[in-house]
Amino acid sequence: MGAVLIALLLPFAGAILLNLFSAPRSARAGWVASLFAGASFLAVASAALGGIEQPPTLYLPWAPALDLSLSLLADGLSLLFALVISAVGVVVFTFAAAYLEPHEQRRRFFCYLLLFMGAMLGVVFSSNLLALFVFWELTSISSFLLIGFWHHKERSRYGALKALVITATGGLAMLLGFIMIGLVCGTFEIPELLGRGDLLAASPWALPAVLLVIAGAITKSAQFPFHLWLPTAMEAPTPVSAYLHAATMVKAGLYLVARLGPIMSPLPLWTPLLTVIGIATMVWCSYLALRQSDLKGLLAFSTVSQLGLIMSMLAAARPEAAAAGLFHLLNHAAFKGALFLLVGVIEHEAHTRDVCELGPLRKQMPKTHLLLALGALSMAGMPPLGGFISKEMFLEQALHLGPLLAMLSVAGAVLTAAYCFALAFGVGRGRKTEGASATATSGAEAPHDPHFSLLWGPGLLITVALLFGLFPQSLAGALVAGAVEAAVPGSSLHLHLSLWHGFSPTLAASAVALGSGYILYSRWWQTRTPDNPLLVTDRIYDFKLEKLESWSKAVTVSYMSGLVWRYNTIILCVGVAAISAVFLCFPVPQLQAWPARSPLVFEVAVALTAIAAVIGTCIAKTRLAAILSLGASGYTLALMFALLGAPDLALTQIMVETISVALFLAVFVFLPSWRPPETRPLRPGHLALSITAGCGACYLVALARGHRTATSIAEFFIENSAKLAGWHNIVNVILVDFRGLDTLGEISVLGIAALACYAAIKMAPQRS
Amino acid sequence: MYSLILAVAVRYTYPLLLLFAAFLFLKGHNSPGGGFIAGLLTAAAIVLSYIASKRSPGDGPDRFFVNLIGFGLCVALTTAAVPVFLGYPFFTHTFGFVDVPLLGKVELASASLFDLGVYMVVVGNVVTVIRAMTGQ
Repeated sequence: MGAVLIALLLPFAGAILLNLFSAPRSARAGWVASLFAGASFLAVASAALGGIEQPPTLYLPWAPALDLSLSLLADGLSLLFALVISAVGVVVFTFAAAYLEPHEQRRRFFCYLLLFMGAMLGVVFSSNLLALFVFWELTSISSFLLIGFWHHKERSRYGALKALVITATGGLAMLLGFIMIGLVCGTFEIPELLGRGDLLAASPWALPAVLLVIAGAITKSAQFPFHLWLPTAMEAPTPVSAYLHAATMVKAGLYLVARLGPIMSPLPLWTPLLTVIGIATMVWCSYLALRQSDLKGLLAFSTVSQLGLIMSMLAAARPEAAAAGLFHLLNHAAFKGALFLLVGVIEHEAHTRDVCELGPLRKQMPKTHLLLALGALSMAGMPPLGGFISKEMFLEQALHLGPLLAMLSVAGAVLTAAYCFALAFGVGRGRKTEGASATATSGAEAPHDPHFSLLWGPGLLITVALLFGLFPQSLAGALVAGAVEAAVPGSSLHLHLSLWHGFSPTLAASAVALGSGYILYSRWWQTRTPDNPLLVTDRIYDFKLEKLESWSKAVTVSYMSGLVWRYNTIILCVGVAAISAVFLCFPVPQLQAWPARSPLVFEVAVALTAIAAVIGTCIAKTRLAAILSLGASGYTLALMFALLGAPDLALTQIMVETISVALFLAVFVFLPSWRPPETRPLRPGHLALSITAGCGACYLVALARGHRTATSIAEFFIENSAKLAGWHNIVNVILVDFRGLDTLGEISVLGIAALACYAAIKMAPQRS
Repeated sequence: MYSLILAVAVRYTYPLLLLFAAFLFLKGHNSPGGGFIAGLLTAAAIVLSYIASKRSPGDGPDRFFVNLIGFGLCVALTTAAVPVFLGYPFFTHTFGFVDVPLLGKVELASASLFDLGVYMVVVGNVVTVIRAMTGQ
């Protein structure tokens, strides 16, 4: 398990080190990041080669009080996903190192990419549902940062936001589902949950939990009707698309379905709903893929469609179906990762990725085109590539799904074959566009095959896709079998992957799919005009986002008037109303006296000084006098703290007062002109509100002081501060040790507030 | 509003203030003080040096204090997170005593590191806000 922990920590360590020690545009950043990714891959590989240890978990307590632990689980399923993540990771990292232009902010890019890799490994290795959620959201955030990497582009920002809104919302729904599962079953540890599925099945929370977890899975994997975010996420740099949006992140939803399958699949709706969503996504999105003119758009829809296929297989929770899904997942990672990288290469060289503008690729970039065609054919399911075997397995399983779904599956396979042929042959032809390509490339150098550094990555992936076809059993057999064992526990599947299955209905279906696909491609695709249809869901999303923005703006404008007295009025009114409501609804205890000594003379003097200072602030003739008077009231308060035996509070108060006075003086010049008190009308309403709030606060304090029901926690702190924390200053021990988590939250808020202030002032449009 | 008297006074009091902040920070274990107060004092000292000097606070190394916030958060978070990997719950602190020549028995506590993080965030926060508001 040590290797797994190392594999998980390496990317995070790499991200931190890169940030600390690298120049923003350092050319070496990519290679350093690749080293970390490679080391992580080696660690995963050694864990996989070492076999699955028993028990396959490592438990690190995180917050035991919340049942949250950083426990790791390395069974077959985790290892299969982790191998895909780290192996494709290495290829993508090295590709990106050669791909990014020298002027790009490479440090930032590779930092995010490493962060993503670590988060993704965290998702598949987490054995605690809550930890899984944390890593899950971390992948959403790093994906947001990576899609928006070219943040000067409006479309990038739009795509990044959309991906984040949809996946993070889904993630929150999933968290709700997890909480339901965890509370019903009494544990958040996945291995323990497996034995308690019947508890969940018997509970009324089963159905909502199923729906919420499905929401998380299908938003992450961009399944219908949430497929809208993936195409717009294609604004990301191509290595990101290859890594996050083809090979790994979008598969997190699939992982979730496979991982929770043993618990969730006996529950109603899980299998049927996911199967229908998967098949529907596969058919609809492969149709949409055919209508794209942008190569990356085509690949995006094809990814969604392929994910639908895998989703429908994994949802069934039968060993044969799971094997089909998981083997296709391996194939898909290989060929789709390669296809994205190749499209990146094409865009890099030809400066366009529009199908209609590209020239005759076969002549201009023969090597690139050969790899592209091989990848596309593997996706189409052409023997002897790996895709053929998994497509066969899929069709065989789909024939069990009932006539309607089986027909839809075959239709999906036909459409898939059609766009794959279009990708393999249509793009390279430079058909009907000699004029366009001539204008596009005139003046510029004709595109040509790139340097080896950009080709070996995709070449390697395509080779793997080919080898998966030729030697499936020896390369992937054990891996898939191990994963199936984890996804469908207790199954006895004798998996034998081979290219030739003999004549069977499946082979016929495959042949029909390929043949009809080719006809569709040659008769329809070649003559159609790509129209890049705008999705209905896209319109709904845009409409909602626009409404949300205008509504929140309207609400905000209604109270953010810029007038301090209005803010104070709102705050005090709400406070008074809320507390009065509590008093009206609940019985009010009697005000009780508490034992107190009579105040000393100097205490009274200090209090009177404070009051005088406050009054002085109100009636000051100049602003400077008002500020200083306000400061004086603060300092007398500090004095009061000191007198009452709270030296820490007194020190803090003095510091805060000093800095506030300095701040006031600093912004002095920018404040609106000062109106002397006699020109300001006394508003009776404000006076009444102030008096009510002030007297109410006094009353509350007196009431609370006389009604102490529980024993004071102070005793505990006094007794234990030196014993448990080693320090005698209780205040500081509370701050940094006993209630350190609160402090961590507070300093985070402090940091965010300062950054917001900095950004709001420094980056605001300059007012003339 | 440049005052020669203030400028000269600050030249000598500034190091003293920082020293006092360090004193408060270290003293905080057993008597009033600690990262938060020391941070505020340091920030006040820096603000004072801005007031006394001729240049506007907006000048000078731009990102230093902004970065200090992030760095402080990292220090605090790391201190809190390291125990997890040693098999203890998040935020488990520890302490021990070492003998240092001349000083005698000195207490070392992991909570001090967390306190250092708090200190950096507080300094970064206050100075960032003041600089942003005054440097136009």
